[in-house]
Amino acid sequence: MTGSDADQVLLADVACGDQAAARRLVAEKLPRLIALGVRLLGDHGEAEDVAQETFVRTWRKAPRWKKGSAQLDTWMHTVALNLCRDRIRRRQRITLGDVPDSVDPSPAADTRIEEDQRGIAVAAALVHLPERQREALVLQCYQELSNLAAAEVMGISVEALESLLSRGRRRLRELLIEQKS
Amino acid sequence: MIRSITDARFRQIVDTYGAVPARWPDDERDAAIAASAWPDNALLLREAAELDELLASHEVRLPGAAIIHRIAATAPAPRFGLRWSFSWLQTATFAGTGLAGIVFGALVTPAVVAGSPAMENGSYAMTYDLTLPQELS
Repeated sequence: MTGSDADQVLLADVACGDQAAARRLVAEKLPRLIALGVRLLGDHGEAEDVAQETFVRTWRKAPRWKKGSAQLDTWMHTVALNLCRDRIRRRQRITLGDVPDSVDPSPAADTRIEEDQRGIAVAAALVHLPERQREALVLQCYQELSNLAAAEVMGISVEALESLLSRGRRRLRELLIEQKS
Repeated sequence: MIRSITDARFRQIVDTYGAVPARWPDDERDAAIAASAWPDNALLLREAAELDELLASHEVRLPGAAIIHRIAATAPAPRFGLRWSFSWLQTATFAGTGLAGIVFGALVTPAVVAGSPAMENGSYAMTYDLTLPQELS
């Protein structure tokens, strides 16, 4: 059974109210969803909220899930990415309303990112990348989606994804060099 | 047969996806792996690998059991409502069938027995004529 088939079986069990299947699905998908949120939003608490909302939408979708319609992973990443985008836009609106304390883009102390200086430097550089470049890099590099899946999640062509990725990697390298100096 | 790849495309792949072949596009991976052996590409690969390593240093801690249970608890509960509706439907069907049988019996049976000798004698007792018709005996 492929991973995709196993996901569909789990989802069907969840739709029938199987609590053990729900726990298995959460245990399997939650780490990657939280990692996605942390790297896009730079905040662990917000990442958990996004992951929880993604699961709530998954429960709603479960009874209507059509076999072979899409990969559950891709669908959940699309939902989570859109929720992250909504939060980033909300922050930008708050920024325009002059409340700087809550919109500092660098990772806060309570983001609980591993106490590794290099990791912290990368996290800080990531949040300074332009939004679409950051999304492309996180989906392809950290979430380990294929180029086709990452492009599908972002709703763009593979060529556009490649352009964002190469510009993102270049910009990230520049940011890391700036930080060093 | 391995598809060939231009030097420019190889550079583009490494700039885009980094130095790890597993991240390269499926349909170009073999050709790109072959191209990675070209001496001119060694520096490009080393620089890309350095950035990959830096990116990998940004780790996110795994979620604890508490949040897994909290989120799993938001999943739909077993559908007792549906089961109750189903059993209610079964009961209703059973009762309806029984009621239909009673009504059928009440309306049809008197009409059938109306022409029997017992009715003519004023008796309401159910009678069954077990004798075979003349033509069959």
